Amino acid sequence: MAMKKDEKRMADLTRQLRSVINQIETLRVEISRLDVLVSEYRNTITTLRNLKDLGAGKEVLLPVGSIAQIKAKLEEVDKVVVNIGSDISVELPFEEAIKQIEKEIVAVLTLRDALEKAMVELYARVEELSQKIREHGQAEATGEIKDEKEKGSEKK
Amino acid sequence: MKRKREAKRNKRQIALDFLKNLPSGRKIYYRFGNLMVEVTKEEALQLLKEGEEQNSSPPQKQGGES
Repeated sequence: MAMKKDEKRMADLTRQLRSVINQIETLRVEISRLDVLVSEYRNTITTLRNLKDLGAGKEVLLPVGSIAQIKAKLEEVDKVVVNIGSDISVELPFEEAIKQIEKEIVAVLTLRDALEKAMVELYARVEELSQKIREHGQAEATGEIKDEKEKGSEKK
Repeated sequence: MKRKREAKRNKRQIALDFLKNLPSGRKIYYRFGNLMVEVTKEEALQLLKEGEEQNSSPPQKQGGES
């Protein structure tokens, strides 16, 4: 009876540990997705600034799919169309557009910080559960040795 | 699922607030598939509202029940 209870407890701890590890993995994927996003936003700012420096009238190549490009001319660099979410994009003056993208970067980094904090907490939980599993395993092992000793003395 | 819907609603609210505070004369575009179509502020607000209504309505059951 006690044996079954022990096994159940062990299975329960292992299940909890597996669940926490899965949560950590999910957070890790989300954090790397946010890192890619921040890097993409920073690249966008650099590209916009470069285009602004080059000025209107400059010839550029417009990608058509991933294999072809067609020539185009920069007509206006003082205005940028920025996606504000929910399929809506808005034309903004250059500096305002840059500020909007920077604001997005700050928001993404804030979210990243929160996820990282949650991950640290989950790592602590992993440590705690691992410790419990180790202790439980040891208790089980000594219990089994005790049982075997008792059985041995009964035979004698 | 619930969290995703809430995040979507938050994003919509941010877009809505942004549009409401946008000075007049700024061009606004709405994405229909691959196409970006120029819309007025009123149209954009209406499209956002419609999107919200579509999301808040319960999912329709697939297949007919006799």
